[in-house]
Amino acid sequence: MGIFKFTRRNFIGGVVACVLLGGAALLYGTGGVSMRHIATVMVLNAIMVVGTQVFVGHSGVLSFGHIGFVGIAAYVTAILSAPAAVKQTVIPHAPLGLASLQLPVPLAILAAVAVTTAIAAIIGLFICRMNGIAASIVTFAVLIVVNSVLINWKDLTGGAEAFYGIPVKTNLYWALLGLLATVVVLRLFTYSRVGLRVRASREDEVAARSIGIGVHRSRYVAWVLSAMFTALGGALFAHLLGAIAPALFYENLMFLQIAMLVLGGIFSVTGALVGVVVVTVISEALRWLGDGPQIGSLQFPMIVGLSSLAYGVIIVIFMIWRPGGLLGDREIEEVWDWLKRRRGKDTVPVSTAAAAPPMGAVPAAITADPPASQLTSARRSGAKPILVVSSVGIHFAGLRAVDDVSIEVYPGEILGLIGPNGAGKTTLLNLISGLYTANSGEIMFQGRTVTHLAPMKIARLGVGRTFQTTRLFPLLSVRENVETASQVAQQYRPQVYRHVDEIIVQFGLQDVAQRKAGTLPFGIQRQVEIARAVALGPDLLLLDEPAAGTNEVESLQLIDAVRRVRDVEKCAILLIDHDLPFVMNLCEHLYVLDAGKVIAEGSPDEIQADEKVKEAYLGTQKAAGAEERKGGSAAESFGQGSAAASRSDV
Amino acid sequence: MNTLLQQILNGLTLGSTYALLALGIAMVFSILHLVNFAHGELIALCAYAMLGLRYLNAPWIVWVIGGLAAAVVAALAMERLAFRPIRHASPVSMMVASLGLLILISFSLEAFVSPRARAIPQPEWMNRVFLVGGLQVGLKYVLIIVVTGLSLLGVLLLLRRTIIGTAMRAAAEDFDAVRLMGVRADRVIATSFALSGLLAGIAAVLILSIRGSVTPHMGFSLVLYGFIGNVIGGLGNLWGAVLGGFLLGFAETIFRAFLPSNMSGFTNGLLFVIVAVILVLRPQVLMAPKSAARV
Repeated sequence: MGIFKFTRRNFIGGVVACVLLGGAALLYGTGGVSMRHIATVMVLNAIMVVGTQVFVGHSGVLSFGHIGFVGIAAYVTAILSAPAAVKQTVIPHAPLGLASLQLPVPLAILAAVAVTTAIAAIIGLFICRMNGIAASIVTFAVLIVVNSVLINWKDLTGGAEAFYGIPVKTNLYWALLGLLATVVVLRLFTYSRVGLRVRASREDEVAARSIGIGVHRSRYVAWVLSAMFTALGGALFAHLLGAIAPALFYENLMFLQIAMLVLGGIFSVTGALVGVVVVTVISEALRWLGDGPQIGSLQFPMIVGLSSLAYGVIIVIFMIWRPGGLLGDREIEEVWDWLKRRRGKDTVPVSTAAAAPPMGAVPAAITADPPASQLTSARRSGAKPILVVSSVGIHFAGLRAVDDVSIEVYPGEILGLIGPNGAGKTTLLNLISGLYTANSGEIMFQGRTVTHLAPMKIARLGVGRTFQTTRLFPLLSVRENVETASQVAQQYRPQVYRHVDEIIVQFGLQDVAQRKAGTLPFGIQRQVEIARAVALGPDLLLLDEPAAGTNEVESLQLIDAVRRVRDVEKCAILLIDHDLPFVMNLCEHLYVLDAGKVIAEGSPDEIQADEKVKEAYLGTQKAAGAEERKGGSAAESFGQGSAAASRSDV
Repeated sequence: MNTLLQQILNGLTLGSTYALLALGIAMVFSILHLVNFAHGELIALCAYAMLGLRYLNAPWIVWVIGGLAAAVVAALAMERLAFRPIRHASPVSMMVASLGLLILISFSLEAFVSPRARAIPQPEWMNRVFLVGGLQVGLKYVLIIVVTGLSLLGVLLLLRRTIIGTAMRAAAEDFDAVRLMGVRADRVIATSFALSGLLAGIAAVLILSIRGSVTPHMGFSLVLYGFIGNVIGGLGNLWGAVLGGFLLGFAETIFRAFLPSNMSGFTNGLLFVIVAVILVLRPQVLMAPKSAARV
């Protein structure tokens, strides 16, 4: 299924986190009945917050609706398990004979979790299709609607007044057992295939789609799983309190749990647990202070709402000064590693950019450069093109960004797409990879019409791409970045699947594999992005300005690297770049775009001789009245191109 | 017939306050993409400032001026202290921060002023009632509609006729482009906050003239109504938000008047079902700015 992945490290990390929290709760619980109650509430909050965190932290979509799920679960288990005698007074008119039904508590809790999960599963169908703020506001609407129903469906819930007589069965031990199950199960989700995909989509949805990740579907799995455990917490909560009311599951609980989530760090389970403990301690201390205690001869005044006020302070402070919370995205075992490093100081120097070998450092066996002529022959020998773009056009608000463009890409060739700024090159790439849908024309990939396919589907057919401004998953490790794509290949393209570590080695990324992609220097990020696209095992690789920001030496290395990728992957490569020497040197065939139209195509030599191309590149400067000089420099730059080309041919 | 007219009048008055609320929220959202939960707290702060001036025995008009000033100052302070440091964070982070401010302010009012409702009396003349063609028309309701109309007109003129207004409209379209043209981002954002504070203040005065009392948590439910208005009109669309506010006022009046009495409690729930349905069908009303959509 890919929803859970068992690793000893994560399992032990989860258990240890629970043991620490449980130990603290048990210790506190020895202080008497009321302290044991507080400790139990804390543990139940931990179940609910960790449950919520699995959706919110992994997907990056803030959900208020989970508070509603807590309420639904609490009410379902209350209605099912309360003695008939109680129900005759609280809800005598309950439908479906619920007034006379009494289930044993464990069964009622199971039913509560099932019902809540089912409701969440239906709502999630809509919410998981939406993004960011819109999704959050809908979850808010869910919370308010749930609250409204709990208050107003008096026959079923007894209305705004307390529903009492719920069997009190939850104690600290049961709560801890529930927490252990929740934490362990959800920890195993994080590093699973689906968990990885949800996190990747959180980091960059467009990039996730571009490597074939079904963003909505994986987010939906997280949503349902998360609702299930939040519901468990809610049901146990009802059996601790014995009496519940709709107001319990509304703004105050929401404020509390958001403060807990934000304080510890929204991206980690350990962070959620830390947040629960710290906020509980602060809020209990303030509650004591707010009750107007007498310390020595000092009588403090009674202040209402002091602990709630603290939630606001915590949220504001953390959002401004430390939006990642105390732990960021660290889990307990990573905190442990970090502590060990700080004490040892000598272990694992964090490798730097310089340590990494140049991109595409491949095992020697495959470095032999096959003659370019052999590979381009596909185009000349009448082989079938792998990609056919015919008369494609797209316009934005009247601007024809791409206008009646036709190009063909043949298997195994390196094709260049050049043209002045705003010529429509990136737009064309976006059309091919499905990010934009053409207004006219047709795109065929491997004989199949893909004009209207979603990016994710096109990626799964074997079209990999990079972006003009690198789009990695910054909080994921380099290995995870590559793994996302390699897992998609494993599932949808088993014939070309290669293990992630093989690709890491191929690109010489071993030393940085465990580092977060966002912390790496720009040049290495570029490599990782290409490695990620290659991990898809593409038949067509689209590179958007791979040489941007590289110096002369790096761009020569890049030429070798791109060729090697082509030779190893046996894929066609379509690339955009402004660096003419680079393009002329690397590409076997070129298309020139200007103002959305193809104005020339041919071999690098043919393109360099083409008058229209020179005009397109220099037209604006001519108008400025400097034709002679600029014309000369253009010729120079073309000349450099061919010089570089001949250099590497030797 | 008369009840219908009466209901229309009710809807218009209720809608007026919602329209002002929604416009203030939209103004900040359109520029900063911040869903500002703390907008309702500006109303509460305005109301509590008026309460304070009442205890100082100042005349009513001073309460109003003081309240409006408090709302504007509070809005500017929020921008400067809370939102400016995280201006470039994700919209979700900013939203959470604004929720934190909501909690902070409303519970401060509860803890340090009073948890209970406090009365803010209206001047006698406001309660005068006219009979127009057999229809009872309270002066206060006419005033609410007139003040709202004037405020909307003022905002319109500001946006169309002044340089800062033009910059604000341009910033809502494409902030980066405006910045490149040399407009100072800080000033545009601060102005939009000040204006949203002023609108919240006006709304507060109008709401108090109907309710007559303040509670620490009045802002929370009000801001939710402001959001509904925005979602109906398309969040970030200023005049859409105004229209959404009026529609919401009418919808609420209709629900309250015509829902069977055992269902009337569902009004809130029903309104939010509408919100959810609109957003599910047209999630693009909340889309990110154009510049962010580029790949």
